[in-house]
Amino acid sequence: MTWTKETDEKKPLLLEFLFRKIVGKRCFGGYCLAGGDFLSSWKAFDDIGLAAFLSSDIWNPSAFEESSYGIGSLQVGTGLTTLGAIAIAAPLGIGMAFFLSEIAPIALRNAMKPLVELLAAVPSVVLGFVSIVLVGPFLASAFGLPNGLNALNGCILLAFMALPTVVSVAEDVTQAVPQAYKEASYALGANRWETLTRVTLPACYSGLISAAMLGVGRAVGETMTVLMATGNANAFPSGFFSSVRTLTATIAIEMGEVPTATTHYYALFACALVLFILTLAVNVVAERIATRLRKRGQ
Amino acid sequence: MWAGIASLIGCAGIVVAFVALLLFDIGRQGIPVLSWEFLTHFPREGMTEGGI
Repeated sequence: MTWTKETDEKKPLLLEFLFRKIVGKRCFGGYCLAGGDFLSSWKAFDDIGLAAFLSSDIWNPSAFEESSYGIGSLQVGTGLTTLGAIAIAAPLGIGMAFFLSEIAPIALRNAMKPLVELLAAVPSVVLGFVSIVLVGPFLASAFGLPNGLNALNGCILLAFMALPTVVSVAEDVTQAVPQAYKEASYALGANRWETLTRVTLPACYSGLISAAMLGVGRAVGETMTVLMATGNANAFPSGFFSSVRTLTATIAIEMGEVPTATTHYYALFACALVLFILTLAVNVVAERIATRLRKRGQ
Repeated sequence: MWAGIASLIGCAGIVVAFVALLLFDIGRQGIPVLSWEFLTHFPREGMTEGGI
């Protein structure tokens, strides 16, 4: 009986077959995009020089005398907002995931989960709006700043954008820990907190790192919220209270106004390439960790 | 033990409070000015009157 059922299931659907043919091995379209992006960036590297592009911190494409295209300060801006965001989102998200899966009664959990998932459905421009009218004035009055549009503001908003990802992945890996581990721990006389920190946490450690990395992947590429929240000062940032400009924001602001086929135009493609490599690296690492976890689980 | 669990509850509380504040603030300031005219009419008087 089970044998006939299995042969039935193995028939591939026509749609699935076609989809696999068109999309190819793995993200064929992604490779095409990256290839085209790389070709365009090449012209920028030819004009500017790869080392100068990556390390110089003066981005001034419309200078009167001599334009300079260095993304040093933009990279620092992206790094600052992303790291700050994940420093907020990882503890909050993992803490909330532990609360939801281990402590909260089912009714509370069913009420709280949709609220967090609702956060993923809020358009990023609305979060940017909130950063200007709500978080900005709050930061300005709390820390005595002239205005609240700075890296910290971007970090807070990005953290809340990354939270739905972090919470749902972290909750999944927490629930994937075998019940037998916890039962054994309780049988030895450990209480809830000891079981959580000494048994559940080590068992799903790599999954939690993967959750945080996926959150980073979400935060690196975010454009509209940081564009509105961070103030976009084109200068090397001196800390979380200074206004920063990210790679994504630079592309978004300048792409619409740049003359086609100039060095500036190609330099923006090069920015996109750097961003692409960054997000790819983060996602590959997260995927690796998740796969290793899945293999170990089997 | 209770301090740890309280911190987890705190994490969840902060997130829920932020989402609630966000939705509440947008609703509080947005709903009073939302009208049928705003949604259906074209802008008038140099975009100072009319709708979207």
